[in-house]
Amino acid sequence: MAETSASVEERAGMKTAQELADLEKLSATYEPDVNGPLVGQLQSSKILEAEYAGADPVYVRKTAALSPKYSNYRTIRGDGNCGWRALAFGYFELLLRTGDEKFIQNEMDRLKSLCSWMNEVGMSEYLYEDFVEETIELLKTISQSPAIDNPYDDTPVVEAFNRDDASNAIITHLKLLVSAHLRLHPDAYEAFIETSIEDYRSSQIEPYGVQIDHLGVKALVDVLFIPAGLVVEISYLDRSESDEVNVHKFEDESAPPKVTPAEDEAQKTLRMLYRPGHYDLIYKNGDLAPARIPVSYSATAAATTEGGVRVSMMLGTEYTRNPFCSSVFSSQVFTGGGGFDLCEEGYPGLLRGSTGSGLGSTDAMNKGKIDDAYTKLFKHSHYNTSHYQNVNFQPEMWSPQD
Amino acid sequence: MSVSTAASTPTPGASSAPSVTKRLQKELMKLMMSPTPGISAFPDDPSNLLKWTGTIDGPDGTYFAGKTFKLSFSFPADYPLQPPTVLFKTPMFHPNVDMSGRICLDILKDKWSAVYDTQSILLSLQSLLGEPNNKSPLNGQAAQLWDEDPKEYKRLLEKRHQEAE
Repeated sequence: MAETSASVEERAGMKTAQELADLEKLSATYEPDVNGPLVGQLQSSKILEAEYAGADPVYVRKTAALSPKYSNYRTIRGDGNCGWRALAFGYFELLLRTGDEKFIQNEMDRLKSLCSWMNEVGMSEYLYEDFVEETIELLKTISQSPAIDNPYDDTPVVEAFNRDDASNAIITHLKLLVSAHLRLHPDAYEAFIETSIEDYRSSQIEPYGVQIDHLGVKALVDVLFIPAGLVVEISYLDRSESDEVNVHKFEDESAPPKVTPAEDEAQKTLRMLYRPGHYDLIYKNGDLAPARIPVSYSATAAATTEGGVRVSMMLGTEYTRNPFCSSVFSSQVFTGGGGFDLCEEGYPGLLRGSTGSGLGSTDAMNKGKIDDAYTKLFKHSHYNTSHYQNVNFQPEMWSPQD
Repeated sequence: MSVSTAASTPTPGASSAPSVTKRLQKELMKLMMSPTPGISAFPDDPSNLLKWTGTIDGPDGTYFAGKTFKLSFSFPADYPLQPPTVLFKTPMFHPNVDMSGRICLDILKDKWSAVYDTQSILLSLQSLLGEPNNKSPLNGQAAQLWDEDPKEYKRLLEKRHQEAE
């Protein structure tokens, strides 16, 4: 991109005013992939490899190395808002995937309370409330049945993000929120800006259709993702000399070293693919299909209240964190039989039936929440030959009777 | 919502999205419920909320004091993501307004934000009258005379203003 515009400028030096005007008009109206959906369906990342098959060897090498690691790919329309839209969509998708109603409701409360920032910088409530409303509506939708019962079914989020009004309202809300954040916390960002916070937010953040830059991504991650315990990483697919995409992770710099199990973190990471001037989304295989029962992300501050996850009854060890991360767990349950205590609200309606024997006294039993965990665990375990090492297997779509 | 009277009329502007209508109805309510002295705005035709006419009074202590200026507002279908097109309808002599009434103001172009409204545009234009940006003039003569020859500026402004009648 940079090379192209530089050479265009060079040649432009010899052009007539008319030619210049034409050129300017062309570049001003150029929009990549304007006909695609605002947010596309999941596709295989092999498509990327095919797309670059005839390209520069650097791209061929990098895309070939990409697909074994990142199984899936989702396009975002190149309308100048792709970075904002990719991050906004990814946020909702990650929240839905937690399958944790309470966690999503906490996020809803948090975002409502952040409206005070917008008031503080003098934005009129009557002008921003319609945008906020769309964000809250979608959070409501994904925190309730039927969406929450199928946290790996992205349909509700994809549909909302393909409705112009909802999609644009949500990114406008986020833009206003980031703008207010920048103005209220200038110290953290000022050093990276050549002009002023005021000029930056009014020319780079608030206007619709202006591509998000690195600092904008950082500010949005600081406002939206880090407080929710979510991680954002960008993989750069460019001409730089390396064999793989370069990955940059946005993390909470003030946080203590990570204790979250890697697997758990994978479930909470939004991955963006950056090609000069454009953002799409990519996914690792583990992001999309539950390798285990997805329970409440109790590790995050939002969900540490009642209902901390305990499996002490059965395993004799008390896990204060997400017990289902443990690979030991599924096999022990399986071989030893036994019960467990699901996180409060963690996975409502999932379990029906038969494994309760001998464990009738656990809290979870009393709440009637142990249902077909046995079946569920079997489905996800490697004893289930239907999906063992089958990357395309989707447990939610499969029933043992088939 | 208290805008039910407007909502009961046929859908204005065939191509306008519901959100545009909703937003413009809110702005209209706001302007009517709490009018700001020195500015006004109203839709030209109740069946089309996408076209408005606004007025601003020239600020005291400026060349424009005592005069009222008319403007046209044309809202795009994706308003408020994009700004309206605003033109001076009253002939104007100002460094940042050209002879056709086109205005050079950043908030109407690359610094537009969805939390600006008709009222904030009118207020910004009113302050632009008293504080022009002489560095990037649309009307070079006006920019030059602004500081150098107030008497001549005044004369040319009066001349332009009389074209209105």
